[in-house]
This record gives sequence, structure tokens and C-alpha cells, in this order.
Amino acid sequence: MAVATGKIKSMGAAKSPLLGFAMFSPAILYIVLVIGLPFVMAVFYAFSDARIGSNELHFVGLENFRSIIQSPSFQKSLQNSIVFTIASQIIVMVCANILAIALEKPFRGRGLVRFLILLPWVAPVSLGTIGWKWILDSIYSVITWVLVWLHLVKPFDTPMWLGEPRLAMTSVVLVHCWRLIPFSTVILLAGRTAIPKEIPEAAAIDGAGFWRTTFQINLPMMKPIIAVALLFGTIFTFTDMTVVYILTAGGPFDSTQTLPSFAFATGITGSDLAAGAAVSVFLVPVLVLIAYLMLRMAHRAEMA
Amino acid sequence: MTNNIPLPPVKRPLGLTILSALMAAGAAAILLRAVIVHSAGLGLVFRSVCALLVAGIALGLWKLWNSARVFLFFLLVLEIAGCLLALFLYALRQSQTRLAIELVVIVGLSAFVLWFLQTLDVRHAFGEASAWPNTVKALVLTIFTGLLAFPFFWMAVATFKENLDLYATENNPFLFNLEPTLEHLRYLFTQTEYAQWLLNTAWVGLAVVAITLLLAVPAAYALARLTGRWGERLGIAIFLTYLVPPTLLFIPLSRVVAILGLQDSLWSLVLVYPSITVPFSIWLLMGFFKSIPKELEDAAMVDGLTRFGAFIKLVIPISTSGILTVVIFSFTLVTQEFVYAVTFISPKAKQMVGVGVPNFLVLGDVYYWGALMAACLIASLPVAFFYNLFLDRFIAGFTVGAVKG
Repeated sequence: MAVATGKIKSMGAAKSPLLGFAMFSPAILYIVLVIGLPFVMAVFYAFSDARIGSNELHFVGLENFRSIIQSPSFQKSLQNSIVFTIASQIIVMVCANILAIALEKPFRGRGLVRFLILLPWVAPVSLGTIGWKWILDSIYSVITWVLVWLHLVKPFDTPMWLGEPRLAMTSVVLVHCWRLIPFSTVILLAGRTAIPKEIPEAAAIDGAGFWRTTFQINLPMMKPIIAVALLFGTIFTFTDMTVVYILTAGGPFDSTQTLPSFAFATGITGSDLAAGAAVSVFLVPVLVLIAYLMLRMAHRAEMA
Repeated sequence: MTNNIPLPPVKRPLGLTILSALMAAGAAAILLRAVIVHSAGLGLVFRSVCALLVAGIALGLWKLWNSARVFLFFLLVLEIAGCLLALFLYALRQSQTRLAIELVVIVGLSAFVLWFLQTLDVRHAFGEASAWPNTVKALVLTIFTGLLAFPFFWMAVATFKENLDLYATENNPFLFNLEPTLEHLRYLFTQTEYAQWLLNTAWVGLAVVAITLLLAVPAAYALARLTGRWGERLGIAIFLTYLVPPTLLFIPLSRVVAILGLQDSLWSLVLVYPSITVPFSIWLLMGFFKSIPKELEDAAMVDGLTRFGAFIKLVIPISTSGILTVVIFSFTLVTQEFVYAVTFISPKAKQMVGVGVPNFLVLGDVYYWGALMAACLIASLPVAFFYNLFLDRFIAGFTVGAVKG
């Protein structure tokens, strides 16, 4: 019987390449056409003079890059993209690890707490960000009201959360953190539950306290999963334009402009497709780096 | 069955009895006060809840439930923190001597009870546990839950507030200073295109779900089963395309959409959105199909079904939960996407809800905050609810390889 099934299986496998090809080629074709082709076009546009409203295309070499690199707005966007991503990822990692520890053991009401914690990630980004826009409003901000109530700021000299460069930058970083902490928390939670229970228990018997178990056993064992959370978090922050677009639209004076939002402002709002494409092409090195790191991790997991 | 050796009965320390009696009396006093001052409406509800809470803790302490002790501990820590804040930020700076003395007394009393709850006798009565670890956990969870869920709570508050109340900076924004109103909801559904945007989103969502299933289910099955080692590699390559963000592709795609004549049509989104749902769906389903034993299909093929027949009649029915995950995932991604929707579509009536609300509920410079917040809340909660139900499966998709378990 076992021999018979083995034979049939191999026959099935031998017959199926054509069927297999027919089954996955539509998806591959779609991906090539709607992701691969535009990707190549984005790079190509960056070297051309494409504009909205004209169908002519000329190759202009590095002209677009030369002009955007000199523009102060672009320099600010590049710098902001890097600063926002790094700052938010540091905060997210610290908070998500703390939250994952607190959520690990089951307790009554955990499901509800998890739902509330996850809201920022699972609700549509643009809508959550409008919620923040109301919270950070220049006149009716609830934060301002609390600060006035605590006598920390004077009623007629309140902070303009989204109107002053420094405060606006902080607000953007914090909204990014707000959105990504839930995502990283659930990923880290999945990692914590996968640690074999015997190891921390053995350490506890050997007299290791909470801090030693956390820093010398749990965190090192969770390295790969922390890397996953970090890589996805980096991509989601670095390539996001929704938060900035809705919260500040890049202002005041480009102080919160990031690469994606600047690409949108030049490419779509400003009709200069080529310059916009050139700006967005600056996302590629980071994407390539992250893809490389992920492949390396997948390879390692395969070896282990 | 396991308790063959009778344990000595745990004695309740005298202090604990006194404490729970005091708290029970406190609960009664709060209720009495509520009745005497004839408070009604929110005030009465608030006082009754307080009384119930205190009575509950009193009962819990009496019965030696550790959760009651931890909860009281947690409340006391919060109280001390609050009093110290008030003392240093307000009472001392404004030289309110009487208030300062009161605050110091409260802090002292709370600290005394904290200390008492950790004494050896009490610990023994509750099974030797220190109250600190659970209290710290509760504090961390309370603070984070509060911060993370706050914007949604705030949306709910604004949804039901009168404009006069909403735009009065001297009013306490946490209270309803005027009666709650449904005016914003009425405005949203009768004076704006919000309902149309919800319909648009649902329509595009369903279309994208259908396309995603048609493309991803066969592809994932083929890659999981039929092409051996190459299947795995192609799967990873497809997953990597998930990392290519809309903010890189929207500029060339806007040209493609214009060439196809789909500008300002929802069909443009139906065409493009599967590019964000298909790669991840293939990846999720591949993991799912691999967990179905091959022998099942082989048996079906012995019974005369073709490979494709076995896939349709056998594999798909068993994979309903995986397919359902993809349905929810694709639909929620459609509601969350912003970049393509804002780039391809400009007429007001054809907006998706995620773009229509921020861009078209604002008239000139005037924000109708009540209606805006209602719009955000109504669209967010159902999406969040369904996404939350299936979240563990998505996370499994993200963490494949890094976690073995």
C-alpha cells in the first residue's frame, strides 16, 4: 500500500509541471506587470523629463538628481526620513519589549486589553492620524488643556504642536511610534511564547532574578524575532507618507517633510513626475538592504 | 484529590479584617452621600460605580483573593503618584498650604496601607506572593493601553459633543458640559458623501478580495506542492515584492492608470490594490497548504480525481480558514491604503473612506471636528475588530523562519 501511494505520488509530480505552471503564472504575470514594471519605470523616469499632461519622454541623464540634491527641501526630507525612522524604531523597540513582557502571561481581560492596544495598528492609518490631528489642534488640543490645568503652561502662550518645527517633528515621530508599537508588540509576543519554558525556569532555579533572565536569556534568544520586528518597522516608517501628509503636509517650512511625502509633493502635486521618481528612488537602497538582511535570516533559518 | 494532607487553615490577619470593614463602610458612605445630595445622571452613575468598586475590594480582601489585593495595591500606587504630582505641580507652587497638608496626609496613609499589604502576615495569608510584580504589570498595561487607545476614546467623546461644548476652551474637555448630541452623525450621513465613500470602499474591497483569491490561491498551492525546491525560492521572491512600497510605485503607476484611461475611476484601485495583497496572501497560503498532508490528495487521486480536481474538491474546502484569513487581510488592507487612493482619484463622490474623510470633510479651512471624529470612529472599529480576530495568523506570516514553535 505504502509503495503504491509512493508510486502514484511520483507519477502525479511528474505529470504536474504544466499544471503547476498554469496555476502560478497568472499571479507571477500580475506581479511582474504591476510591481516589477512600475519599479523599472520609476528608475527610468528618474533619468527622464516625464511630466503630468505631456506624453513626451526624453532621456536627461543625471539632470533630475543634480537638481533635487541641491534643493534644501530634499536635503531636509532625506535627513528627516532617517531621523524619524531611527528615533521611532528605538522608542518602539523599548516600549514593545516592555509591553510584550507585561502581556505574556494570561490574565482575565487579556483579550480586551490586547484589542485596545492593537487599535492603532489595525484601524486605518489615515483615520487614526486625523484623531491625532484633533488631539494636537492648535486651539482645542486636549494636551494643551491638561497642561494649562496643571499650571505648566500659560493659557495665552500655548504650544503649537504642529506649527513649530521641533514640536511638529516630535509629534510625527510619536505618531509613528503610536502606530508601530502594537505591531512590534504582537511580533515580539509571538517570539516570547516560542522560547522553551525550561530555560528561564532553570535560570530561576539557579537564582537568576527578573533582570538577569530578561537581559541574559530572553532578549538574546529573541534576537531573530526582534530583527523581524525591526526590519518591518523600519520599512513601514521609512516608506510611509500618510502620517506626515495628514498631520503636517510636510510643514512648517518643510521641517517634517520626508522622502515619500516630498516625492508626492513634487511628482503629483507639482506635476513633475521625473523629479518625484528621482526622489522616491532614494528609497531603494534601504529596501535593498532590508531585503538582503531578510534573505540572510531566511537562509539561516533554513540551515538550522 | 491531591490534597491528602490537610493544610492548616489560613488565618486572616486582624489588620486585614479591619481594612475590609473600613472599605465596606466607605462604600456605604459613598452610596449614602449619592442619595442624600440627590445626584442624578452621570454623577449618580459615577458614584455608584465607585461604591461598587470599593465594596468589591472589601469583599475580595475579606475572602483573601489575591487579585483584590493587587488591585488595591495598584490603586494606591496610582493615588500616591497623583497626589505627589498635585503636590509639586500645584499645591506648593501656588502656596496652597491646606491642600498641601491634605495631600501629604493622603500620601502617608496610602504608603502605610501599601506597607501593610506587604507585611509577612498578609503575604502569608495570600500565599506568600509579593504584590509588586503584578502591580507593575498592571501599571504598565494601564499606561500603554491608555496612551494607545486614547485617540479612539477621544474620537468617541467628540462624536457625541455639542459644538458649543467642543469649542469652549474653558470647559473641561473630559466631561459632557452640555447634553450629548447625535447632530454630528446626522450631519455626516445626510449632508456629506460619507455613506457613498463607505460603499465605494466596500465595493473596491470585495473586488480586490475576489481578484486576490483568484490569483493567490492557485499560485500558493502550486508553489507549495508542485514545484519542489523552486517553489520555496519563488515564494520568498514573491514575499520580497511585498516590501516594495506604494510610495515607490505610485508615480509610474499614475502614468499607467492615465494611459489606460482609468483615472478618477475606482477600477484603477481594483487593478492596482492586488499588488499589495497578492504577495503576502501567497506567502500566508503557502504555509497553510504545506500543513495539509499530501496523502489526502494522493488518496483522492487514486479515487479518480485529477490533480486539479483534488485541489478544487478537496484542498480548498479544508483550507477555508486560511482562505478566510486572506479575505480579511485583503479587505482591511484596502481600507488602510492611502497613497494610491489619493493619487489616482480626485472627484469627491468617488473617494475611498480613508482619503475622503481627511481631504473632503474639511470645507475650506473649517474642520467639522465632531463629524470628522465620528467618521473616523465608524470606519475604524469594524475594520479593527475583524483584523484583530485574524491577527495571530498574519503575525505567523511575518515571523515564518524566525520563530520555530
